[in-house]
Amino acid sequence: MNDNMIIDLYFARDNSAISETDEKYGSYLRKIAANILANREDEEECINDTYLKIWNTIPPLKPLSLQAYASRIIRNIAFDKYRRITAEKRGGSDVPLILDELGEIVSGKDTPEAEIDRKELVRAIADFLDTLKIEKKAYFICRYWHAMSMKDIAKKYGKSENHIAVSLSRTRNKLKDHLTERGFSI
Amino acid sequence: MKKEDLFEAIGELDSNIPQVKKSMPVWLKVTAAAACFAFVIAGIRIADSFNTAGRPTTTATNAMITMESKEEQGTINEFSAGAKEDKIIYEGALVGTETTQTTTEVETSDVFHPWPDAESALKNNFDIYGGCYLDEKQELVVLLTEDTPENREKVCADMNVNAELAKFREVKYSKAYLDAIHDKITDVMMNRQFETIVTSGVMEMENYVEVTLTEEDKEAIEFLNRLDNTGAINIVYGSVSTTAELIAKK
Repeated sequence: MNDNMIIDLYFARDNSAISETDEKYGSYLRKIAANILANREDEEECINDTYLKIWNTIPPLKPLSLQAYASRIIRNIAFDKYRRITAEKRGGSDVPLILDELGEIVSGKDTPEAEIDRKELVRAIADFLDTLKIEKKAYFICRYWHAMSMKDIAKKYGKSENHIAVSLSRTRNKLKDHLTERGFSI
Repeated sequence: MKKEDLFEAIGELDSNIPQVKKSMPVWLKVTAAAACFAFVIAGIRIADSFNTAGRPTTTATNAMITMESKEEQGTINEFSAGAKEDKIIYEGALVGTETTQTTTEVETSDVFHPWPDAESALKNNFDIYGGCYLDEKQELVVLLTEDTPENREKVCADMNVNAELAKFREVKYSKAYLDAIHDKITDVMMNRQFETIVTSGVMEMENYVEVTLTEEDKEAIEFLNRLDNTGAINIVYGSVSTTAELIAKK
């Protein structure tokens, strides 16, 4: 079933919309949650919350890509849950490492919201990624969007973990320069 | 800005991972290069050993160079070889828009065998012909499942070699039998039925089919035993992989 047909089911308030979504994107969404949370119970909770949010937002929303929409929702939900879990000191994903890596780019200080327009920042990062070679862009998305481990990325692309780590480190340095040059007070 | 904010901002990007062509791992590249090199060396040595017995290597090489240089102008028409005392004159001829002829004299061993026609020997004597090879003295050794004077004459006649100048050795398995086993193993390798089977080859001198397994694989071994459990298959274990992987990653 294609995305439009599934979205039509949501608009018709047909419960099968959720099962169809799960059948088509369930494993993909679970993988995103698993990368961030590394806890099966939490992952399932995230999945359920994601489907509920999709159910509650479609309609009125009609996303162009159900996959992109659902994946963004589950990433946000999983990351919120990750923050709660961290406060409770449990969980074993790569996210702490990933955040430390991203910490090399930013100052870590509170920045007045007015100074950083989120949309501008996202656009600047997207522009930066477009300047990268395709494999470096892929490593970046795998690591910092999907929160994949270095090991999984290395396996996916047939490279060594060291190669991936070095490549990502260079990309982070370039991203920092890119954002600084564009006046972002990060 | 906090790192969590950056992580969240990245989350608003397109989640699609760009398609990257998966590169061949370094170890596989090295293995493949080594395998190619080994094949080239083996090919040269085989050609060399046959040429020493039947044809002069240096002449053949020269002739090949001539032919390659004329490849666009003509096609290879015929080879002829002949013996003259202890010298051999080899002629390579081309036809087409331009014809060239090379004649080179080279030293060879005292024993001369014409190029053995192993294909005819196999075709006409599938039950008795076991293969052939050149021994360390570069003398032709013909393998027979029943070493009788009649079989010697018959096989040598089909091979177009002088039986009096050849050596003979009795072996257990015919070449046709070993080829049939090898073909069946090749089929399962091509179908990737057993990924652990990575090489198969008929070893004429040893009179068996040598099969390389990357690891002990009960199912693969059972399959090989079903093909033959009398000793026609020799299993070796090695890390050289890759027939299946090379096909898969092509």
